[in-house]
Amino acid sequence: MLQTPSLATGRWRSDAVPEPPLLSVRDLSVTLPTRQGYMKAVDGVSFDVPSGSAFGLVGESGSGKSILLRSILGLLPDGAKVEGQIYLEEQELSALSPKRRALSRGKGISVIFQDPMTALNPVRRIGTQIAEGPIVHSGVKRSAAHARAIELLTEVGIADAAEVARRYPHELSGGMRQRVLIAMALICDPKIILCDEPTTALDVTLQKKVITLLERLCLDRGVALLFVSHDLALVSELCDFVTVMYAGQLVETGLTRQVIDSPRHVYTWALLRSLPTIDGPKVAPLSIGGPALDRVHAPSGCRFHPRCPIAEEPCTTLPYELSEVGQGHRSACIYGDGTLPVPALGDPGGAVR
Amino acid sequence: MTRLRYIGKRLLYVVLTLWGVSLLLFLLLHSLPSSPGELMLGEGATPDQVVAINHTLGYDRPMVIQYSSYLTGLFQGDLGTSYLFHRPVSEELGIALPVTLKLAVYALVLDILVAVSLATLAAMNKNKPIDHAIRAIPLVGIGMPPFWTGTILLVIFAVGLKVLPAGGLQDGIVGNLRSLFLPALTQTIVASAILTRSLRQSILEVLQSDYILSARAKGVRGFRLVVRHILPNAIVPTLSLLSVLFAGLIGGVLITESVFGLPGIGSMVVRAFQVYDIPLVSGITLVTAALILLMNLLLDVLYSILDPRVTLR
Amino acid sequence: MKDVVNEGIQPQPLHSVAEPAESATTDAPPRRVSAKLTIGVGILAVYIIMAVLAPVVAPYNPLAQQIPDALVRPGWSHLLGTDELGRDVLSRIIYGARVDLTAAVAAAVGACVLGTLIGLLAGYAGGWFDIVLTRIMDMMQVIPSFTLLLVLLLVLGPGATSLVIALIVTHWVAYGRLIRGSVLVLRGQDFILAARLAGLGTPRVLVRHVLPNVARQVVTYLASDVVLAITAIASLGYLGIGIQPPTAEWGSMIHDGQDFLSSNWWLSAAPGVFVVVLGLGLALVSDSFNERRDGA
Repeated sequence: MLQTPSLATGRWRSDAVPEPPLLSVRDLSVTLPTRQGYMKAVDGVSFDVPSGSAFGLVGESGSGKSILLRSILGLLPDGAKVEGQIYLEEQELSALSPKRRALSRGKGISVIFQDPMTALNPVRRIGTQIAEGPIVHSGVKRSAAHARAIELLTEVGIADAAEVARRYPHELSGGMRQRVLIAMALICDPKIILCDEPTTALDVTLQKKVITLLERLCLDRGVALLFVSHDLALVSELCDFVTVMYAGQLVETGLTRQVIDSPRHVYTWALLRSLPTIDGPKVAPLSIGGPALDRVHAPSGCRFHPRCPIAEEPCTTLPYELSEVGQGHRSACIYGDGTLPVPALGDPGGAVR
Repeated sequence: MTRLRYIGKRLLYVVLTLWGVSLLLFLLLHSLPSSPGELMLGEGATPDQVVAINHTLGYDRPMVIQYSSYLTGLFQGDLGTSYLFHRPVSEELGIALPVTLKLAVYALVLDILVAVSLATLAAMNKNKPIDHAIRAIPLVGIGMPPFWTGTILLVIFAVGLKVLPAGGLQDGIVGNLRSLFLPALTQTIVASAILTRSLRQSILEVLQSDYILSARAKGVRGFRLVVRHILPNAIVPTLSLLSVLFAGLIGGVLITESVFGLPGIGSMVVRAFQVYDIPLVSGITLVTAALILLMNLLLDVLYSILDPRVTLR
Repeated sequence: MKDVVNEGIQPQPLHSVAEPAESATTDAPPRRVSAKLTIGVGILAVYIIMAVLAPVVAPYNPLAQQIPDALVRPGWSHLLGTDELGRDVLSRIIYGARVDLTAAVAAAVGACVLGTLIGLLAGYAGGWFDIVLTRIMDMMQVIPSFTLLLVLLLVLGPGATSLVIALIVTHWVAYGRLIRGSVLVLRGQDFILAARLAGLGTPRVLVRHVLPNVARQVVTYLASDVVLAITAIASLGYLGIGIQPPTAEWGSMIHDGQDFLSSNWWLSAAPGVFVVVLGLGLALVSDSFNERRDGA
């Protein structure tokens, strides 16, 4: 097991990971029925998450990132069709029967959801909800589980843990609830925590605290993070790897440093350009125009081409292909090999450190 | 406010409402063309006898005085004397009320059991055949008048199959349970139809929620998921429906008693009606109103216990 | 980073907080006229024809007693047999439709009108009026309708008219509450304010602006209220209260048939079936109104 001094970007120098990845997704496609027809929410996505790393998944609403998360958990809505495989530590999750799949949840994989208010059961006490995980999985006795819950509450920075454990969700503030969710995720000693926009519902100051907390706890325990967000700035601070999704497809992936410093897909570049800058030359943030994604009738060729400022003829016809553009750095854009006419469009600037 | 204070406040409200009801009843029943004396003595009475008895019983006093003495009587638990039985109404009720109460509770319990099971089954299997079947039942169930369903059930189970008694109340716990089963079932068919529909909807809403997703992500599933996560949340909004339903339940129970020949206040009120026994009719009405008011209070308190977000005003 | 793009079609909303239940759980496709509505209306049509055209449709006089022909089993001359006084059951049921349906509809509509008026008044006028009326409604809802009906019938005497009046008095409260609630909500809304500012007087505002918005809810409830009214009328008839024999009434027919349960059980069963099917028809109509309201 590699000793990891910090989760800060730049730790991983090369793509050669010495041990098999913790979580592996191969050619995952998820098709959902909608009123307007079938829609491929996730289309042929593959990636690996190494043990103990922080892996960021970025995309706008509708890009399929949340569905991806749910398919890893096996909790898709009725009528969803799944293709491809998901492996957790070499075991293929997608091949398990629903019952065994259910049993594997919580143990090994934990989740932190976006909205702490709705993610907690309003009619049960905090302590009970946190303690439920170990009780269900490991058959831990109630009193022991409760004690553990209180320990964890203290670890996540809640003073007066015993008192809080007796309260109901609506009696806590947003920040506290989020910490409760973190405690709930950690209590079963998972190997990886899936985070679905865990800070979107919080204000900025709280965001920072929660992220720092998460970072520290995962580091101490060697827990991997699959961090889904639409906030590229946040992801670049926290994660070792960044993957960008658009319209259900993976458009760019690689080490954070690589992707941020030299984006190889116009969409990534545009995302970076749309971030407001604090230091560096003042450049106006760029907004990404164009029509909304029609998920049922996807455009031919590159799905981003209707909104791409430099789209050319081949962009409308060439099929999707993820090519290697650097060590461990992959992009689906035809300009990915470094011919991205970046100076013509303006430098992303110092938006992200 | 604390639960105790709330209960106290509500009880006061109960008393006030009952007072209003008693006033309403009094006004209505004293607008009858015949005087109480005539009604008590029946057709063969001479005018003198009528005047005499009206005077003895104080029915010729001004209305206001009659009402105030009635009220004072009420506070002391005196509901008047029945014309029919020539005994205090409260005594008569004391005998008949327990029967009705047993039936009502029995029906309520059955209602809840049936509704919860069916609604859960339907919601968890949404759009599958069993869901459609369960959703179709209320359509028919609502139109089934209890007295008819009761008769049919009697034919099938008592006359045809001879497994259950054909009417009347049998002694002992087992006897009670057996003889009250069909009457309770009769009520349940209608009431659970309504309850199931509402509960199913409620469960479906809960199933969409994030906290259920959370719980499933933790690995909670099956029975535990239903009992500890889904139902507690789903039942809460249905409770308010239950208080409305209960009034209907009592009404239905009263009618069903006549079908099965049960000696409860339902059968009693019908007889009282037929002979214009005003004290009995108004006494029974008052008591049933009180029952419903108390049940509503109970349900509200239950609501506050089940849902910690509710504040009692 | 700001999301500039709007949603195209979103897959199952994952983090919805307050999702309207109807959109998540409506099963019926909103486009075509639902099967429910057609069947329901069909059933109702049959009953209305029975009620209105009774003299034409019924094979025999419902009151004609032919004692020698008593208790005949169902056959070609008497499709549903005869009762203990030799009266043709089918004819009695058809005429019974006339009696029960008319009374029930009259009661429901009457209750609706009364309840709507009171609800409008209470909701719109507010103040003392509202408080008093609401208290009265509270009080009335606490008395079980059966006992209230009996009390009213005691005062009003026997017969169909008193029955209808009593039912109206018992049932108006539900409408009153419904309307009052809607009025209270609508009162605060902008378009009402706009109407008032434009100088429209109160009655006009009420009728042209408030009512249409409440109409659909009311009609939905009306359908189920007719079912309740029928049940009430039949129940009272069964107990010998309200509509008196020898008038053919479903409830009293069921009662009379109880003496012959082991031999001629259809005497009790048949009228009941008619009640249930009518209830089914009304329920289907009421339901499909509900669905349309939510799904459309």
